[in-house]
Amino acid sequence: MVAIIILAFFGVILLFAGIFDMRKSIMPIGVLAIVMALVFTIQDIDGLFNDYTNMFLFDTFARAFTVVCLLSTLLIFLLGAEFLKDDIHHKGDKYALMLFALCGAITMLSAQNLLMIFLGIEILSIPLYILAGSQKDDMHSNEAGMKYFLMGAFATGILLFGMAMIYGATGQIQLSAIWTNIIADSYNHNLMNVGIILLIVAFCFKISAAPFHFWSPDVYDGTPTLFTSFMATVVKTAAFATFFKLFLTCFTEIGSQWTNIVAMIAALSMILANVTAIYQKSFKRMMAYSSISHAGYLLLALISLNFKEGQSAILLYLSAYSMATVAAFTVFTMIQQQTGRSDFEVFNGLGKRKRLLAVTMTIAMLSLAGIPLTAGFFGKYYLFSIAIHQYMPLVIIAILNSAISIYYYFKVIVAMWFKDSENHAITLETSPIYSMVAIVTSIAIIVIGVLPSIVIELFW
Amino acid sequence: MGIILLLLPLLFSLFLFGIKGKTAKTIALLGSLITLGFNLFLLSIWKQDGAYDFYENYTWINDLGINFCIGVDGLTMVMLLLTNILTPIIILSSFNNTEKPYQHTFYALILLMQFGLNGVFMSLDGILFYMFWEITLIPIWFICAIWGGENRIKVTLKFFIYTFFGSLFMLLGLIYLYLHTPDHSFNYNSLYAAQLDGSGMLFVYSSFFLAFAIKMPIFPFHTWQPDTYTTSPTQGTMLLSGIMLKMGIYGVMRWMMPMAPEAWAQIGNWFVIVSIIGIIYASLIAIRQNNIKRLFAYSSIAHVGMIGAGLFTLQADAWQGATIQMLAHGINIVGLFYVADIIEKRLKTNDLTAMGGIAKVAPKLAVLFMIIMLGSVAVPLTNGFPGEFLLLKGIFSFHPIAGAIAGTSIILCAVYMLRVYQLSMFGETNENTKNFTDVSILEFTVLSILAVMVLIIGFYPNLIFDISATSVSNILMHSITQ
Repeated sequence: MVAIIILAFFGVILLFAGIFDMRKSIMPIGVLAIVMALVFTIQDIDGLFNDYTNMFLFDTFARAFTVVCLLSTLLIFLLGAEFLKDDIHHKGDKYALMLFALCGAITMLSAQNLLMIFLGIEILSIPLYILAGSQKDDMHSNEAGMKYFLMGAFATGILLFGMAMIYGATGQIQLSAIWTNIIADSYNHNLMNVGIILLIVAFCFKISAAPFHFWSPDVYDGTPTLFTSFMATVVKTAAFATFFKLFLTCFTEIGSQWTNIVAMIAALSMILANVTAIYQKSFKRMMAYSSISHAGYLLLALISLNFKEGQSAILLYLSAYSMATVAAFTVFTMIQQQTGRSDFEVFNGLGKRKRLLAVTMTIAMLSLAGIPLTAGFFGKYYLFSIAIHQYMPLVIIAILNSAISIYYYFKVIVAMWFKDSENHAITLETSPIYSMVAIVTSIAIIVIGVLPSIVIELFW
Repeated sequence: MGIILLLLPLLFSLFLFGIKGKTAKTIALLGSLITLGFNLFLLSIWKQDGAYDFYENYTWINDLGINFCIGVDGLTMVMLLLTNILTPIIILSSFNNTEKPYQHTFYALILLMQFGLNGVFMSLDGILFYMFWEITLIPIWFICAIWGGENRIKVTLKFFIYTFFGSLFMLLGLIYLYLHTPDHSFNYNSLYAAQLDGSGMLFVYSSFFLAFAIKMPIFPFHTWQPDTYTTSPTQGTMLLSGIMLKMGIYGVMRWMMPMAPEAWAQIGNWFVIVSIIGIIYASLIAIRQNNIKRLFAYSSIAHVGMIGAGLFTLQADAWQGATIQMLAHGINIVGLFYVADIIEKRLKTNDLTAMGGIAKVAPKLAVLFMIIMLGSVAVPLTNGFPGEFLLLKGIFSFHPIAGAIAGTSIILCAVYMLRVYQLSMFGETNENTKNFTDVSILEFTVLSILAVMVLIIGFYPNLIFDISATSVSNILMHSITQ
């Protein structure tokens, strides 16, 4: 809870920093805010907001995922030092917007009540609509902002409608109360079913699972890369964790009514995304499809209907996924800034020119593909092992898709190590900050890959 | 102790990644020889009682029941010997390569591969085994894709996805087993004690089969193999065919058969049939090949098919034969591919029809090639003989017709091997082969080490049986349901 106050406070400070010509100190202030929030997340002062626990409870679940979000943002902020170097007028605003979005993420994660979830999603989304369209002179960015906003607003409408249905069915907005009513079987079954389906649709939109994913490749592609990585990591983590919490707190008892739908969505996400990703020419679009497919894998945790195992699984998976995504975008951002291109050819010959970056990218891709000794392996392993009992066919689909995904993840590795660059004229310069983030993320991926229990034991 | 054998190649590998310059190959050779020396030392102090020696068990990931558990029994010891003897030979064989870029990375990857292979053979924990299994894939993929020939990227990617696909199913099988273990652990003994029903066993059995059959490869999962063997650099092919495919055979013996013994009764016969089809199929294709590397690739499928057929019959003789045949095949195939490499370097072609009369100008090569070739044909007193004989004996006592069909492969093998030898070595010299220079000292050393091993194991196969026999029959005992 203190974390939200810190983030919001520093967000406001950053807005003013732009006015008072403190541009050099914007990034450090942002980093300071995150670090402080991190400290207060791990060492939460209990009892400060105990009167509101029926609205907002900063429990271990919320804390664990908050840490993932904060760490990703921290790394993205560091990248911002270079990425937003030339942005004189709006640098502070952009950092501030990311901090506000984080407040939304934490609100969602700690919400105990449907309205708080809605509030959190809105606080998270609105800054992102702005960030997506923040490159005003770029048509693609404008398109991305517009698309994201229209589709997002629509999804929010559906979400709210679904919540209204749940409220209508049970007369409750409190998560635990909804659960009690379901256990007692005192609810309107028809309204409940409609409500659950609307909620699934809305959340699948937010986590970009097929068939509600059509916005994401365009938005990922058009959004300035720094904010794409923010979307791919923080938004995904917060939205999925909330999805998981809401459904497994309230609707476990009537799981048979909705797990089949989610299972189909999961299968569809994996198959569609992986097959489409093969044909992508742009790295960012590929990462967008990759993120859709990872949403598909994650849904396995949801339908396992096992809160205890499931939360460890998604925590591990999302931290692995976030680290790998940040690592990949670190390398990509650096190359894209200097070459201005985003196709796969820009990676050609990177292994010979910039070893560190190529190694980082390789580790990131191996992790996303789920090769052992990288974090992604244990993420996948955990998800498969909790779903294998009830959903063997789905796990087999997931495995087939993991094999397919090798093809496009390895396209990057192949380009970096086995192909020669046709354009030697452009010398790539690495700023120390990029190198630092690259090293940190690589080490994190390997460490989680060798000792996954540290992530879980940190919280549970 | 075992862990030192595991870490030695890794340390040398990491060291080689860091250095630059021409000393890389010497250090790599030195490193692999030290590992071999240590392996021989372990052999000398090893208690041959059929139990796991050098057993080490550390908790790794407690929540998931994963331990770092390694141990060495007779079967493992043979596999370790195979790996650690062949690795220095493979490294030595690369010394006459024209300078390639990134030499040190090349050798570092070979040693990384050795680390993974040793790990695969020593693991006594399901997930550890799976991890090492995948770790071997990364360096070999880089070796083949960086230094390979034409079309390397496409071919190696196919190879990678194919084998990765198979191993994911193995992972699924392992998880399934784990969920049925009494004490929720991936330890070998716990997995073995897992209580499965009939369909569960069938699932585990088939998912393991998929992974191992792709790796070996057994017909009809072999389609990645000929292209990969032909495209890869010679050292890559040697690693793949000499050591890496034995991971599949070893997997069948250690992990697949004992874990789900009852499934054998349901589908075991089919695997024998498929393997035998593979033997004949690959032999027939080999007879028609003119590309010498492709021919050896198909011969490898045939030989491995024989081992597979022997294992799936669950006959004691066949299992003993399979163990020694793994070692023999490793030595022979490395020798054959090295000969192919020597010829290709000089003639700049792989085409058998362009060769001829090499024996006249290069007698030393002809003699050494002859010995290794005879080993591959399984002539008595060469290393191929005891293995093939026992395998055939096993298959024959399983079913006479199966034995008869599998037995034709010996004849077919003689046909294609002698055809290679005849077309390349005998006949008149032509424009190409007129100026063929005989083997250099280095090439002579490598080939004679291999040839000597062919003969020693041929004369005295008990050298190997003494190590492996007890453990192999132990494992077999677990694989047969009472």
